[in-house]
Amino acid sequence: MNLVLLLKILSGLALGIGGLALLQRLRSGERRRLMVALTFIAGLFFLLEFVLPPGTTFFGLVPPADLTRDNFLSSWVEVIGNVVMVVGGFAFGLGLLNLATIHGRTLFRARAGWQNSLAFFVAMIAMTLAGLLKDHRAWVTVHDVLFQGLYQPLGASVFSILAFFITTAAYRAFRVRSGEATLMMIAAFIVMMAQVPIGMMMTNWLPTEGWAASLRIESISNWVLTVLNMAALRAVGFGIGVGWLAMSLRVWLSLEKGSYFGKEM
Amino acid sequence: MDLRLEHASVAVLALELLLCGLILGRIFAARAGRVPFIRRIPGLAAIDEGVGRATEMGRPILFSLGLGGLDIVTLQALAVLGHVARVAARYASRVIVPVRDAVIFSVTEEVLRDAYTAEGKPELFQPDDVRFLSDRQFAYASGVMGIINRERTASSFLFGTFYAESLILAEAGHQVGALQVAGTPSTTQIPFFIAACDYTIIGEEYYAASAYLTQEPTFLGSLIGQDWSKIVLLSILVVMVLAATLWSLTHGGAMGDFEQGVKTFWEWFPGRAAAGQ
Repeated sequence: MNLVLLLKILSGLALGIGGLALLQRLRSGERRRLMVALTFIAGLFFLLEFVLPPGTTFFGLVPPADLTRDNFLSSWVEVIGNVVMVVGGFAFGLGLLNLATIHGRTLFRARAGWQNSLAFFVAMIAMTLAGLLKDHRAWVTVHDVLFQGLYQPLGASVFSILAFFITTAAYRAFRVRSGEATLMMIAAFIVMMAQVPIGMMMTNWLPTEGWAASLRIESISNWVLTVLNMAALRAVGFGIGVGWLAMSLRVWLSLEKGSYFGKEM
Repeated sequence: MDLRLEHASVAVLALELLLCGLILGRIFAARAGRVPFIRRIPGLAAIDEGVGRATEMGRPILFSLGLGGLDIVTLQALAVLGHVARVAARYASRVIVPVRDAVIFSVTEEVLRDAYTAEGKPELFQPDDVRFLSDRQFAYASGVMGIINRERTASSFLFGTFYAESLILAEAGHQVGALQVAGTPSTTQIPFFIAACDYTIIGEEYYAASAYLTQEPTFLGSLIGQDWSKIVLLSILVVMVLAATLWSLTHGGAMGDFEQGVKTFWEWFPGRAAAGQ
């Protein structure tokens, strides 16, 4: 491994651990003030990066690389993204530790289902080894068997369960119990019929041009999807967008606090 | 990978400032004492019912935060989790939270611990109830299904960003007879939740959750600000539809110049021409 890269990794690790240790030493109030300040600065950075037009420089100190699409903050977006990924990397260890603790306890105390915990440790060790050693010729087959022969089919199997779940959920949802359920059933019937040949055969006798063409099942289905459905989706989208904006503002200005929104600041 | 954002034009900046001003204005008005009333949202009202059911049956509650990272959607889900955990702590019920993101894992643990401590029952908090399962979509879904079936959860709360696993989780809950409340801004998953869950929180109701549950003036004011913002957006929409219709009627249906004019206005900012765009 490149020595410079190794030094960079080690110094990054030392900085990270030092930063975490420093945070632990701060009193609760100080830590909260630090978090509020950092949140505000980070939010301000992204806001300015968004609102300042391309070509904007700051006393010519950091000229943008591409004057037609960058301002002086743009080149830092990727750097900050990398920092966030490094912080996430520290947390990944915590996740793994949690899994190992839960399954380790189950295994050593021989609780019900300890076999699953054993399978977890075997799978974790095998997958880690196969991932780390996949460039060695002897491990290529092991890696392929574990990832392509086991992991991917398992994922596909879980995904395929959806076909059965969709049927049972649709059966319950489309039972005519209320006005809304009836409307839903009618809309679903039209859209489904337009997707299958037997459905389209029902209105095949209608002309393909003129006003009568709009009565064909595929035309009605298209209208349901692109007019009724799209209008509702866009309305929901507006609400979500504005909600997102309001919550972002509250988080950026730290108008919420404590155990994640328990009380006001 | 290029992570740079596109930049705001003058029109976008003006609109954003207007919306932010409306929201902040209503927040500060509410904090000054002008607290508004908000209507009952059945899905959110059912949260307490779900916790009560778990207490009566002596079974745990499952709260899934979905597949999102530590973003605004997940922060909102964590706010709901905080409320659920506090009510559960009050009745000495367990809340199991499977997570798929290691960063969210540590935040979730804090939220749960704080909730049990705030209710004066820190000893009831079990660190093992916050479980990091996997960051892979279907591995996570399988893990949650396993927990639902093994623990026979009495209630399931599904809040956050969901993808294809939404129906897998909701149907697993239905099979064990759990009372299910789901909330997501993922519009493609809303129909699945409506079909499979007892209560579904859709659209902006999702962001109204913290206001409804805590009744804090900041959140209530923010909610009213959101409504005013939507009125502004709707007004722009109506004006533009009328203008486009008028233009179409007076120009024989040709919309080219109108569309170009709107595009130029919407994308203009100083220096764009000088920058060669």
